[in-house]
Amino acid sequence: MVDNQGMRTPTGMDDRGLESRRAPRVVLADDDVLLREGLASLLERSGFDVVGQAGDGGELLTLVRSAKPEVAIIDIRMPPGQATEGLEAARVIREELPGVAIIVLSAHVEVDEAMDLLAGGERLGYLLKSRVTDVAEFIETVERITAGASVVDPSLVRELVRARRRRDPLDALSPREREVLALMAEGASNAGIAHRIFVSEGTVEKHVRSILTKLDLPESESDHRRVLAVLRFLETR
Amino acid sequence: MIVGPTLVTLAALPFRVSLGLGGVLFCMLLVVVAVAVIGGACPAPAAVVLGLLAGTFFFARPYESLDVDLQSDLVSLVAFAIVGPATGILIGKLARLAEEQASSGRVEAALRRVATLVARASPAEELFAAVTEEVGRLVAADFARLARYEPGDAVTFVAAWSKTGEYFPVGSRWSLEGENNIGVLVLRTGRPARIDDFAGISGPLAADARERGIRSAAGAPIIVEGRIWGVMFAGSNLKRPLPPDTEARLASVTDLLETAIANADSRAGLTRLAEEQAALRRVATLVARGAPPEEVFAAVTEEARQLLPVDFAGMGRYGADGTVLTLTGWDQAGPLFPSTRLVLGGNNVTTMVARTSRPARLDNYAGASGAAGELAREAGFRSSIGTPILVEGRLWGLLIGGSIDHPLPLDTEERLASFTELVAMAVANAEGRAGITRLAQEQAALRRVATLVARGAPAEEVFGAVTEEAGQLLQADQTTMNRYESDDTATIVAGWSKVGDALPVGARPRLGGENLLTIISQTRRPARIANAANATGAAIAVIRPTGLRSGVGTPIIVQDRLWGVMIANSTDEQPLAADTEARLASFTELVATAIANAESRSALDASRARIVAASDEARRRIERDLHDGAQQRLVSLGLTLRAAQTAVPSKLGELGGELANVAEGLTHVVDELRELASGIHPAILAKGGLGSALRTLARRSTVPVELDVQAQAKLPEQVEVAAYYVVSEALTNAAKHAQASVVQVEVAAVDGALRLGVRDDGVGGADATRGSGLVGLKDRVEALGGTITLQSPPGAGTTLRVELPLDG
Repeated sequence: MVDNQGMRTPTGMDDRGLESRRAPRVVLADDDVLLREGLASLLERSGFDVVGQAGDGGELLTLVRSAKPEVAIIDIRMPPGQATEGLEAARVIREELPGVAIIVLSAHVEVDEAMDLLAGGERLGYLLKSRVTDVAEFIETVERITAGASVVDPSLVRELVRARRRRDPLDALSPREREVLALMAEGASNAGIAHRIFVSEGTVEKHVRSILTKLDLPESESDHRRVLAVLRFLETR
Repeated sequence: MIVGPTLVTLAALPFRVSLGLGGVLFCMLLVVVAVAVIGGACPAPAAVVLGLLAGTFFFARPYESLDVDLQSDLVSLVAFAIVGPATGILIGKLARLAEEQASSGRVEAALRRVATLVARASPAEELFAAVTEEVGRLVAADFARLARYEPGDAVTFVAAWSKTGEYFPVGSRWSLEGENNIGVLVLRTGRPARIDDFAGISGPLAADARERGIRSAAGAPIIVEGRIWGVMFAGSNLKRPLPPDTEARLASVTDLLETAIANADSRAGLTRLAEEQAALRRVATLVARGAPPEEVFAAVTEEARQLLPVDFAGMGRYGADGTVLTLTGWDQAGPLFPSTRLVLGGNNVTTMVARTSRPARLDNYAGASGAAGELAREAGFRSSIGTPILVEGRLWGLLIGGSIDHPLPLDTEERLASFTELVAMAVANAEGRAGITRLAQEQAALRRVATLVARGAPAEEVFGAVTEEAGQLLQADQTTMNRYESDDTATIVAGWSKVGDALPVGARPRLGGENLLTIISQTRRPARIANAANATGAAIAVIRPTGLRSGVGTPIIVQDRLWGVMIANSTDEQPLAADTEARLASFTELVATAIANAESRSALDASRARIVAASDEARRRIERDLHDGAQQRLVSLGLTLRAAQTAVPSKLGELGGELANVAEGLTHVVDELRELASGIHPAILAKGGLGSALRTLARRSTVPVELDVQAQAKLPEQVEVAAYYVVSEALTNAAKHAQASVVQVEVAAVDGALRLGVRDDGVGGADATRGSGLVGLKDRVEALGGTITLQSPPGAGTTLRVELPLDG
């Protein structure tokens, strides 16, 4: 796999696995206390150590600087402007503490925001807020991100892949290859893809090479770079 | 008479013895007969007495004594004394009778000749000349002249004769004022008159007569139709006065002449009348045909010259600036000093007519002065007359007639006047036509402006057009339009200048002082300033440097509110025409309408924009509430459910499954809610801008979209929202109705506007009036002052073009 941490990280929820090591420390930022508390209890239950909660960007930064968590889960829309304060805070955290994994939650996802966020490097996630209710998948995603992956919300990828083009390079791909491409864009590793579509990792690798050749994309050193490259391709094809 | 007997006595003395008394007396008797023949009956008895005495004294013995030998000579003496007188008287009477018969024969011959001339209807001049000569010969005069009385105590000589052929100016006119000559006497008494000695007679005629050696004269009146027409003169150089029967003889001829004149007058009158009527008819035809005034003028002057006893005829037009412009002038050789500009003043006919608006005459150009006077004198005029041309009661010009050698007859003014009436009619016609043309031009100008107004052209365009149209129509040199501001200033919003000078549009002079801007701001009524030199204040300072002299201004009143003013200025010395205010007002009324329209339109636009903005704001609020409220709460609920699910004991697995179902259902509801919210308001606009939002639209479109966005990152929010909805609606339509294979979307911000084009290659035939989508877009776009056009010919795709201003 791309990343040594990723190798050790279980892909599914595994209580024993989590118990075997120190619980990841999480900071939450959302101005909606109810939702924040719900999320906190969910994470606590799932083996995360919620070390702090913030109601806005400023509080978040103070908290992150003092608590130095492994993960920061941030609502994009917070006081004072109820706009993209979460993104701003994420940028500052990435600058000051590059080791902190950041997951930005948003009521709706936008390609530009995703690209903007992911340009900051690895261990970044950009998800619809409603994803948190699918607890298992959400926890798994948080873990993958903490482990070093970059994740983009599937709905955004779906929109990008589905977009119609007059001379669409995607027309060259087989349905299976499209499926693989979408998962690549979501930030899944080859292993993750193999797990999702029930094939061997080798088969996935073959699909990936074929896709990269057909779409004239370079081989990427990391899943993160692969996500960026695929997203950029899908956006500008 | 005494000489006769004396001579006979002396001649007979040597023969007194041989002849005897009888023979001598016989000779004496012959002498008496001779005396009677020459001297008439009266001197004959005297000659008899002398003869008797001379016979007795010289020829009867004893000689040299009055004693006579009664026996031998008594018979002879008695016989002589009886026969002598009888014979003398008889012979004398016979001789007188013969002479009288001869004389009356001459008179009759003369009268016959005159009568023949009269009967032949000879031309008046010929008749007068012939009669005058006859008169001269008849009365054995040295001079004979015929003169006609003129009104105003003057005579004009119509014929002259002299025994020696000496020249006398026929046609010359002599004043009778202060005279006591024959002309005056005859005129005063209506009877023949005579002057036997000119020594004591005063006046130029008498002086002239003296110079010519006339010593006595007689005159007889010529009475035509009960009024004294003229006088026939006869004059003699002899010391002896004219014979006493001269007047009677004159009268005998003048009787005939009277008839002839009466006939000739009426005939000449008829001829003249006919000629005049013909000339007038020719001119009138020209006038009626609407010939150009110049042609009428030329015809009138030429006709007048030919018809009237003038050597020159001309026409002048008075200018308002104290000059007279001579349009045409004719003499025998053709046009004479055409279009000469003369300054009025001095002693001349043009100036007199200008002063009085009445006919004027100048018979002696020796005393003429002024430019017109000098011109006439240079041309050699002796006399001239002028009659005014009055057009609708106003002095327009004059007709002039001039004579080189004689004063013009007194009725010339009257005859010239009949032409001036025609000229006045021609001028009035021409001016009427010019008035109609002017009216048509005015209507056309107003219509052009009205079209602009009706079309809803921008106010600036209307203002510009109005100032130009009004300026040209009113023959102003400059027009400006000002808008009154609330701070006692008035902005120049438009201007036009005849010579194309740039006007200080946008300048904002302060009110105050004596100027049209200020006056009209106070009175709200039209005003004029006759002399810009007297004007003061900032408003006039803005325009004075361009040399303006007078101005007229009319208020622009929009819905009972004084909005502004329109001013026409002139650099001419003459003020603008009196109807300028009224004509300007017809423009300002249009301007007021345009402004009222523009104001209500902009009020409508503003209201529409407010409605759109309010609706957008409501949508944004709903979208936000959905996101931050309902959606957030649903997510929270989902989390709670998931927590509850984990708390469910495994033996109640069914309940756990139910809860899981509910949680998943909630997730779907959240997704649907998200889609719904983004449909209500594109929140992405606020975050990523128009480009980002359009790319999202393009991705979600079921028809492939080729998107080209050339716009800066952030545009005015309303513009972005409008553009977003335009593209969204167009893409929806393309997908739903157009059966298009591709849609091209181009967005570019250029020249202060966002231009947007959406073109598909579908079936076309879209109708903007059907389907509320496009109508809604139109409202939205127009609320922002933008334009939207749809082209959708069947079978050739659909193109939607929108332009949205970025400054508004």
